Amino acid sequence: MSKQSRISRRTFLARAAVGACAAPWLLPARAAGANDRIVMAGIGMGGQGRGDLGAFLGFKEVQVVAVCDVVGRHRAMAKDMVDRTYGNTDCRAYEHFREVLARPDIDAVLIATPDHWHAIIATEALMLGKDVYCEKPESLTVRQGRTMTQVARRYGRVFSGGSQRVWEDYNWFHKMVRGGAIGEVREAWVNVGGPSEACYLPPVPTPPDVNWDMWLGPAPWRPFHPSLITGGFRPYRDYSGGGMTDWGCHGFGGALFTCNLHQTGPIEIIPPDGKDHPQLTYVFANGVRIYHGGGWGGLLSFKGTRGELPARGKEVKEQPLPDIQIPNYRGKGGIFGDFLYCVRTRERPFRDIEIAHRTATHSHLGNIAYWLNRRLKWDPVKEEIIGDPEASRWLDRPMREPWRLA
Amino acid sequence: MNKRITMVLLILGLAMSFSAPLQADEAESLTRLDQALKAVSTYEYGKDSAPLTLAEQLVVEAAKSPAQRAVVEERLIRSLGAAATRDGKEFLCRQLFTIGTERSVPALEALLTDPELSHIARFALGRNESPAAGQALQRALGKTSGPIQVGIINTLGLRRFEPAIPDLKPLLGSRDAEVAQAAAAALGAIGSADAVKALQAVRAKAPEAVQRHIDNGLLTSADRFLATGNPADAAKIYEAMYVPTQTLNFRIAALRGLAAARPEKALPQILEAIRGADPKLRAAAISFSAGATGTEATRALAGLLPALAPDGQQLLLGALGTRGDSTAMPAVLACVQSGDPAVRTAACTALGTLGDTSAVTVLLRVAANTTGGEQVAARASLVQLKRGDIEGTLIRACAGDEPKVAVEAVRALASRRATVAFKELLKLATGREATVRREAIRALGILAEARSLPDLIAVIPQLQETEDLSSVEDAVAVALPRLGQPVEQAAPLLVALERAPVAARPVLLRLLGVTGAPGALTALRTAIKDSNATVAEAAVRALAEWPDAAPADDLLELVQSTTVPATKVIALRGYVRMAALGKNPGAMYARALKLAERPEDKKLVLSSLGTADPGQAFQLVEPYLKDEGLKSEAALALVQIADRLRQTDTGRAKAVLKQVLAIAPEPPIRQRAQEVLNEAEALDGHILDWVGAGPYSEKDKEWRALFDVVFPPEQPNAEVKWVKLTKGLGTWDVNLGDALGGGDNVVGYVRTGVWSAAAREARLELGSDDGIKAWLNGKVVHANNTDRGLTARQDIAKIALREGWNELLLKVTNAGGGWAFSCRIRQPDGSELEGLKFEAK
Repeated sequence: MSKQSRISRRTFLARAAVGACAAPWLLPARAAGANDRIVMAGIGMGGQGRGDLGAFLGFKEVQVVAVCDVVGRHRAMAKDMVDRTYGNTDCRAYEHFREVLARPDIDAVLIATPDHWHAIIATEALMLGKDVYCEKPESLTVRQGRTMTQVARRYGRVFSGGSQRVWEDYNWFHKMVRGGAIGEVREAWVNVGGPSEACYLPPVPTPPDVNWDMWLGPAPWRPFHPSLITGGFRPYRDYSGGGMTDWGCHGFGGALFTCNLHQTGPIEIIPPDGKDHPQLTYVFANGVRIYHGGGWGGLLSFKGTRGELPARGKEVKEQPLPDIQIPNYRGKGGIFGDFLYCVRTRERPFRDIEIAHRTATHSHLGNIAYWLNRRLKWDPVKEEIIGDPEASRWLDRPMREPWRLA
Repeated sequence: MNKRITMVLLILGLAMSFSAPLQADEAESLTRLDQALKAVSTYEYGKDSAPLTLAEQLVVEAAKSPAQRAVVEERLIRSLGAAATRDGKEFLCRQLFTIGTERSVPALEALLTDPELSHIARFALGRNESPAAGQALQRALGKTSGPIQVGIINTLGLRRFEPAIPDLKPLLGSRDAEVAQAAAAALGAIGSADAVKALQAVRAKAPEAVQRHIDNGLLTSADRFLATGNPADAAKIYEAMYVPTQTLNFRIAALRGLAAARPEKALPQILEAIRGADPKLRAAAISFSAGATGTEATRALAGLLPALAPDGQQLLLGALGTRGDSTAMPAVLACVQSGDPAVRTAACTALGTLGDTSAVTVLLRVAANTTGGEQVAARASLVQLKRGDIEGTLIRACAGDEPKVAVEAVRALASRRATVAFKELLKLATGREATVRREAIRALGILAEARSLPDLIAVIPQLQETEDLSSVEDAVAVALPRLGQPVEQAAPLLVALERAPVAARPVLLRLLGVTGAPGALTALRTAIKDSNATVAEAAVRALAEWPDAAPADDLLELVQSTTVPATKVIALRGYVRMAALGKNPGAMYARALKLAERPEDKKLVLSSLGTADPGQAFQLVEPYLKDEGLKSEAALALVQIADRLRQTDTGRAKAVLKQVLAIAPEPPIRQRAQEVLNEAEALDGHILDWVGAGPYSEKDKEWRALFDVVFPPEQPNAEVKWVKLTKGLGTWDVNLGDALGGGDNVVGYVRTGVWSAAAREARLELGSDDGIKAWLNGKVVHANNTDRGLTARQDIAKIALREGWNELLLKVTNAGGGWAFSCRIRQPDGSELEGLKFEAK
């Protein structure tokens, strides 16, 4: 099977390279006026991707012209969604993202592949002048997230991360805590899944409609397994950070935003030791602590100098909201509408990649502390692990050939 | 099982597995490692992975002790040389990523040219801090080609390995475009002066497919120069790239760089780009303009506004608003007159941050004379304005000649919480212009504080028009709690009542009713006898809405004595309301029913009984079930009472609901009664006679995947050992952990026979922890692959029973923790289905 995979990959890349060379690497000359439609493509059209695609299809100002996936059935379902929306058969379905990015008529891309592909596709898209909406977790490693931010800034592109829950689900907490309902916030508990781990799933013959080598992309080689292409990749380290980055981007993202720590990072990460630190503990420069697990409020719990949220034994909604305004989405239509608004105005979206990267970094650092079972000291300005070069190795990973970030 | 609980258990498990010391000393650990590595040497995907998991743990633990770590690394290196399988070697390389030092480099270097293992060797070398790792990669450059060489180049770039520059330079000219592109990216990542020179040297002659990678490499280098305090060298690169022949995306990047590296010098280029024909470059230039600070830059940017098309104007107005420099105000004010509504809106928004008092009138006019987004933007900016005496300007505008403008000024003062305007607004509250008067009253309600609210209340006697009185009532009602205790709230109202004309008295009486103060109650008792009918009715209404049951007797007296039908209804309604608040509600309801003469009055009382104490309410309502005219109200009241009773006295609630179903004619009441009955019977009639098989599992498959694995009980004619379930049987649920034995990531099957006297439609009601699939007579009738805790009737499926025996088969998965299910069969509407028999065989 391994030989077969390698042959198919090379053949595939040769074909893709022909396509790439033949394509003009030019930006569209079309006017991007306020009354024009935003031309989009969706890359990574599994369940989450098709959900996001459906959201974008709901906006009148969006015209989806292409979809892309390495799994034939995902591709076909996504094309069908688009064609049914527009009542035609014009949507093009691609297997290789580079063919999509080479199209000069596309203004923006939705990236909803598994996590290990996000940074490669996003940085290439940004370099080619596309704006990017990327599902969370936006990165597989800390360095990938920083590079995505740098490339987005370099090319002056709009890049929105994909956690809609940070505002939509948790804005009650943001308003209550920032409105002073519990005094100065000191501690937060975030109840999300655990870290990812090694993948030892047994080999299964690759179905004919799956380009397995391309699905793996930058990840180390392993044989096909069907659960990996149907959303079951998240528990495994080569493709994802597990629950820590999956719901972590929502939960930690919500806690960081509530505590106004979303543009920085912790200074120390302490793994659970069964004694003094029953939970993974993040310590911030201002003394705030965020714990992984525990609490009493479902996904999020907060404790401040003058109380707790949610109040124990009370329904969340029983507590009145303070009258404060926190800047959030612009435009109409939640996180997707915010992105589209910013594509037009060139402003930074609510989940701008810098903020999304900071949240993902928080999750990645927690994973490294779990994996190595040791305390980490972190410099949130330089984004470096202090005094532990071997732990620092985990901030990035060499990719399988030929992949790299733009 | 609940996901969060599962997660917490997982975390605790992880914590314990990591934090517990290895079970033996270091020597014993090595023995265990050796055993694990033996299995690793022949490992292939699909084999037992337990030794790999153990080895990984031992490697992580070994990193804490230098001596142990050296020994473990040596073992890993030796195993890598001896391993027989690719999968085993890959695992060992991953461990060397974690623990490898310079000692690992030779063994890993040997794999760099192996097409199958080159990547995993790079994986281990790429992040190894030792310079020897970089040197090994550099040596491999000359021994490889194609994708393998590309991978090595990429890893040298990842390491920013400067010594490799001489070897990377010639690769920029490689015939293999991917190799040349990778070399350009690596040199860009290294980003030193030498690397930049190498890229610049070949740029002009490079083929197009390589050139953009060279340009990206140069931009990456320039960004690094910029970030490390060398803007001059960065600017040279950006300047060279900001030429008309360059592709647009790179021009945009170069302009962004210039704006960051030398903001003042870049201003002409930004201005030129904004004036230019390309909309994307223009949009980008506008967003980069923030870097050029100072009033001159603002003036220059604002000067571009008149010549731009509306799209560009909108973006530039946004940028000028963000700058907040009032130098731009004249140009922005001019845009408020634009023919394009989107431009006008953007101009109004910009004025919010850069405007001063001179913007107030403009914004007021827009707010007064437009609707939609433009009006919203103008109103928001009126709240946002900060420069100069904005509130003084607004106060003056309140007294202007144009009512619409004055209304907007009042509105803005309220939104700004401008308490300084209170006195002026008080004057306006009794002014001549009605729209201004009412907006002022509304604003006063928002701005009133404990000190100033009596002044607003004092206005009430001066008002005559109904709409004014309605406005002031709303405004005072909102503000009253700010006065503190009920007595304090009532005091100014009572003062005002003394001198209020007839028209204003009902307002004051209703407001007094809201306070619940003793003095207020006295005033209301007096007022119900007022000769003016409107005043008297207002007093009755206020008594009927009184916060507690204090005026119950007054209301009862009114019901008995009044000759005014409307007063009687209001008083009766109030009395019934107070019955629920009083000490003896049963007696009060009984009295109310007795006093209710007309059928509609009786209906009123009956419809209130739904919220009364169930024990007393049943007795009161039941007699009316026989009264044809009142049967429906009585039946509905009983349903409501039963709904509240079913948690504490299920048997009685069910009996009452069945009684209602037997006599109530109206379909909506019957439907509601059936729904409540279904809830009351939620735990009734569950099937507890089952045979079971399992637990079943499959290696490396978790619960979600197991849901669709076809185990023997699903296979026709397969041999299955069915066992009669005797353990784990609750009153409605079956605990499969007790019945079949436990385990995470397992499935179990249960089966029973269902006998029906006739073929019929029915519904299957299932609960499960976790996922559940159901077959009836061999056909799947329901499937829910989920992870959850058990409650009854979580899933409902339509089914068709055959006449005679039917076979019902259930499959229940367990993700972890609790493992249970519940099952029953009901009529299609959820009501009891009598006559079924169950027998597990």
